[in-house]
Amino acid sequence: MSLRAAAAPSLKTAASAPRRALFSTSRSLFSEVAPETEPSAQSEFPTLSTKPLPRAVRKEIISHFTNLGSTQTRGNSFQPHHPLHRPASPHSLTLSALVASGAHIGHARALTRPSFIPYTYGHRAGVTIINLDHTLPLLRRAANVTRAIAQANGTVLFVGTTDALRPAVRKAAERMGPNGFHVGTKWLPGTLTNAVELFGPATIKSHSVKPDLVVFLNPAQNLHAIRECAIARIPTIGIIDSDVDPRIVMYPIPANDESIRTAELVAGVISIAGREGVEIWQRSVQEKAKADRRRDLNNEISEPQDQ
Amino acid sequence: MSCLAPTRSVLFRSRLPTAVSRRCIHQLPTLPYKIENGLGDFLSPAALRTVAVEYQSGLLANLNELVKDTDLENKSIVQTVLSTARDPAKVLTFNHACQALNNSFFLDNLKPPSGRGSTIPPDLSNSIIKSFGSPTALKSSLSAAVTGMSGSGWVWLVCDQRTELGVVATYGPSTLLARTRMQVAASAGRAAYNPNRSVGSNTVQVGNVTPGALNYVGQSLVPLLCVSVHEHAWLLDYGVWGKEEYMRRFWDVVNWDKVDEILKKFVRPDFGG
Repeated sequence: MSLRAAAAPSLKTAASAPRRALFSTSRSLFSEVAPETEPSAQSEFPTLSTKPLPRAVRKEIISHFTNLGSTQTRGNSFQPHHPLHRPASPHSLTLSALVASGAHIGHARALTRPSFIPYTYGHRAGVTIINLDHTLPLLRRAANVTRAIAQANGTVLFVGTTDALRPAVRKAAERMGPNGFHVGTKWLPGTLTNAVELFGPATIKSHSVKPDLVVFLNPAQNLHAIRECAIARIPTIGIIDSDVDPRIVMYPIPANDESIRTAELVAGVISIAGREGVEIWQRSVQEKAKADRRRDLNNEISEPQDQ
Repeated sequence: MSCLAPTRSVLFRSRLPTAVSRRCIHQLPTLPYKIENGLGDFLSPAALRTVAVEYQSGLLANLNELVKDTDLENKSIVQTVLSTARDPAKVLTFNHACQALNNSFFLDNLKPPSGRGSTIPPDLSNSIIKSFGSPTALKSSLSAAVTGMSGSGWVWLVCDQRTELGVVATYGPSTLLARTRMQVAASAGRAAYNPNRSVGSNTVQVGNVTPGALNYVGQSLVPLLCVSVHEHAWLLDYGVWGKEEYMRRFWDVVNWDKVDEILKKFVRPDFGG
């Protein structure tokens, strides 16, 4: 405690000579925070710098200490951004993940669509509970469909027309590379049925503007888009809640359409399956090219050209 | 998570980090050496187990209880320390996380003595000579700081960005990575600072340590090495009053290579120290 008393007088003297003291030494900016140490009295001790650490050094320190203390680090623990950026794969999807995302919570009991009843577990607190024992295999079926379509070089369109769903459909489309597309804002009426008008004849001739599969994260708000897909004979997948008829899409996934985590989970699972399909397709293209080259080489050897 | 044990094709090896499906809690970290063999003459296997297993797992168990179902439950220990350092409502969490981090740092920089004895790498040796005059002077200064502490705490070998070394002693659960409330109060010279009322972090200078260094904690100092000044560390092997012998034998097990590595990682004079 004697050291504490010793520090106080020096602080007072620094404050009592304000202007001159502030600009006299290189460390004077900190004079109100740190009492000045007199070099002559403590010459046998090193004088440490007061300059704040550079940010790169601070990051290095924290990264060194991250592995100390316990086994838990930012990399191996759940973070709130994981459902969007690190979704579960269809091979490791579990019921608990679905429950954790709130996929089992349907709409009000009075609004239950009769054709949805096969997918309900029951009712609780005036709300329909969706039976996830049906949801899980149906979601895996939808993932298998997507993988098969991507494996045949098909294109998949993800539709999620609210602000909250936009990042999920965007990431899902990015995952599928050249075979993935998304509609994150309004679905323009006539995209499939009036494509010539919307895209122009030149684009119609040079590009294919019809996807091979459409995945709806909020089909209840996009019934016109679903009708267009039916007219254009394009298969559809959709998250169907308890107030919606599951027959509007070809492969319904009975789940909560109001939960963003559920939508991110569904979009993630389906897009990861789609990415696997795209990889298989690309590998098959490479192997076919290799086989063609080999065949051409063999032909050249077996039929030597006349010089 | 997996009683389902899916058969994943080798084609679908994911390149990106996979989803975390199981809740993680703080668990004992692994040490760079085996606990069963102890640390030479410094700590017997039983004493090392007390420090590295019993004390550490108790701290982590308490911490898990405290952070369960809060936004701190998925943070690493160092992030927990940094988030709770200035929050008066979270002082218990800070105390446990801080002690766990410091204990882990203390044990991480040690290694069982090899037959030849440890030599100090040249860069570190130059810094020691520049700041203290000789390694013996450093050892003497740090040991004196440990001997002078009448209470539990940690004694740190610190460095600034000009590779000047120093010794800092801190009582109780205290970190050099962030300025805690007590340090802010102390450095501002506020009369309200009353160590008798303090619970938890309490950094007070003791004799022989670099004066004024405490004011630069969390600002310009990086820790290189720390010594655990707790009775549970020396009680089993040396008895209640065995602190001096404990410090004498400490120097044989310091992993100077690791300290040198940390010095090179944490100190960048080219950034303008």
